[in-house]
Amino acid sequence: MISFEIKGGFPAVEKFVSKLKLFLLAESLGGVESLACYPTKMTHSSLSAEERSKRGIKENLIRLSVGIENKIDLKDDLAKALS
Amino acid sequence: MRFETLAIHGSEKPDPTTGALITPIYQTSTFAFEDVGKTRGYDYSRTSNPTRKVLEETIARLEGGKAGFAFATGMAAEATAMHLLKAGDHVISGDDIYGGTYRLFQDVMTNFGLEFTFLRLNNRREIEDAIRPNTRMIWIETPSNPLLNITDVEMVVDIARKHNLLTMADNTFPTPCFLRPIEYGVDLVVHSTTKYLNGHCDVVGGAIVTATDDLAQRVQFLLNALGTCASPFDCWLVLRGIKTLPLRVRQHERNAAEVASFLEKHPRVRRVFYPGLKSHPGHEIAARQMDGFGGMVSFEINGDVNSFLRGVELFILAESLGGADSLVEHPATMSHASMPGEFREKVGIFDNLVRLSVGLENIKDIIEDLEQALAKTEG
Repeated sequence: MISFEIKGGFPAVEKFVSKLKLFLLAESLGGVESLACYPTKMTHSSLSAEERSKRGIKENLIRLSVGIENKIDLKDDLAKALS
Repeated sequence: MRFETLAIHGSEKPDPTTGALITPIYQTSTFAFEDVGKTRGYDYSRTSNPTRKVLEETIARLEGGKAGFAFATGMAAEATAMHLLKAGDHVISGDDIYGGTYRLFQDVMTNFGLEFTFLRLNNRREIEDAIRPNTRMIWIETPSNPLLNITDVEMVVDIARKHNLLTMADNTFPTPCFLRPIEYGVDLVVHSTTKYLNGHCDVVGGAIVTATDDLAQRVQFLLNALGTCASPFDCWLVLRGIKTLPLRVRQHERNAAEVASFLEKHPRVRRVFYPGLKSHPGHEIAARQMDGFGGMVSFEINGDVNSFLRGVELFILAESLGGADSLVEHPATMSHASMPGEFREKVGIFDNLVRLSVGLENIKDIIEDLEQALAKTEG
């Protein structure tokens, strides 16, 4: 599991997840498939914005469940989505 | 996409109607037509089924072929492949092949007018000498079952092309992770998906992958006409297994390599058959044409074979192979019992031969079990 904050706030998040091809935008984790999740609107949407911010879960946080695909394919996918 | 990625995303996409990440089990025999003469791509599950389709596309991509087809069993796949031929045709086949394949050829297909020559496929001249005017196909199994003999696939393809013969390779033992026969020009690949592709000893299944669209059409016609297809649930299980194929077979191989070198030094062991050993006659060809040597190890025991088979505790005495559990079997009375004794001996499958499917358990536990069973071996 890896989480990271993307530069640029929510617009950057939207752009990033829309460009992912291999990482699928889905909740859950720990499967063979790589998944990306946006905690603010997905896994942690049941917390109020205030509570999220108290815990440090920012609006630009993205969580990855890294699968067992070939690592070059995974890095390529992230690089393309970040570019 | 690279191999590990194809194993997971080779075909499977989130279900377009619900977004379900995993391919649903389309447990339906028939599909509603949109209008007279107009389907949504499926009409009847024998012909095609969405779950099966995903498995078929995945296996085809892993093998680097044009199209894949999923069958009820490995033998259903092989029986279907034999229907590419007609009465009077002749097939040259490796001699130490799976006993069930031998039985299909020798005891069933000969009744329909097919002729077979069984031959060790390691000598160009001998293969060429076996070709007759009615020869249509060469059947390859490398590494072979149970002796792990290696066939030079490029050499056989070269001969076949010069004589306009089809080549068909049983790729069950190496899996496409370690060998992709279509890359060497083989026309058809067949699998028992029961083994490494599924990998969990909980399904029986088969597959064919074709190198050309023409062969794909012929196999699809036969699959539909003969009704040898796999069920949606079985396809789903194999699809699930394939996702971890690269992880599993590499660990199987690491364990098998240790088992082979352990056995090679043991006084109770007369001979070890494992293509990863430098002493194996096919080692150089295997190292060149394969990306790994696989998880199967056979050996001849110096002593009473039954006492060894009764002595193992972790290894389970069972047919089949390629699952997470280590299995041991006795080819003469189990996997190759359908071969007549005389033929077995000619091929070199003797009564003291033991075949191991080395599993994914901790290697120390695997070796310790073999060690204690060899210590108890009588004779």
